[in-house]
Amino acid sequence: MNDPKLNKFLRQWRDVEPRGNFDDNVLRRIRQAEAIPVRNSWFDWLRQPALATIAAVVIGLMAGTIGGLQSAPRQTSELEFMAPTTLTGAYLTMRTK
Amino acid sequence: MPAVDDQLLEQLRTGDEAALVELMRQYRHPIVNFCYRMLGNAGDANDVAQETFVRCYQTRQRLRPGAKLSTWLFTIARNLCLDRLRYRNRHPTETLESAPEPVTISNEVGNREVGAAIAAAVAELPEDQRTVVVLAEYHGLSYSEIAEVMNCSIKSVETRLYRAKQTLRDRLWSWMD
Repeated sequence: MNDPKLNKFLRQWRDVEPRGNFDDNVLRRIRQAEAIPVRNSWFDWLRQPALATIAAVVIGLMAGTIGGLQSAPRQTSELEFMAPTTLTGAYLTMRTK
Repeated sequence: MPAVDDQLLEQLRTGDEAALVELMRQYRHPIVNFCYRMLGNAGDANDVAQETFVRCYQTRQRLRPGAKLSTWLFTIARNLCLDRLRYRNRHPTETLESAPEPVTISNEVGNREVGAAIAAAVAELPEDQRTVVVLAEYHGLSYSEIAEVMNCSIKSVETRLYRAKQTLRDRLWSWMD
């Protein structure tokens, strides 16, 4: 829509001027941001003692849980009592015959 | 793209602060005014425009050779304006002071009223239409440049501009007579 009347009218909304200390504020903000150390990786987070302790505890708990699960005796089948060599199994065999 | 942009871009990529100062000299006025028309508040506009140049400097390594600095700056400014508008929506009580102030710097009372009426009408547009109308009418960006800033198609820019102008004409017709 090319509406010269509207376009001309819209131009009556005047500009504002940037504040006088604009450039200084930008440079100050950049220096402030550069002064804050940037953490680049997860390993940097682990350098903090509290986080390192929490991470060690979590890893220890996970290792313990996995180890415990692997060393536990394997669960036998729930229907093992119905095998032919058991009392129930013998009874079932007898019934079917 | 002008050669001066190329040279400035290369200097900026090396972290030359003088290049940043030159960039601000060229673009602070349009960026502040883009933010002003998006946010409706001169204080917020200056704050967001300053943050735009900070981000620009911090992410200078991402600038591709041959990139257009103005498009890149408007893209950063637009994203920061959207963040600010979302913040206002989430924290309405904290942002009362930064609510839109549809006033102009004109000394003439009549012009000030007209400016306020335009500001109010533009502020009521959906954000995407507002961005298109501000970039097209007040900054003279081409449709392809606006599409790049908004990460959309040229057709979409045309549609949004058409709808925005229709709405503005309806809202401002009594002022235009």
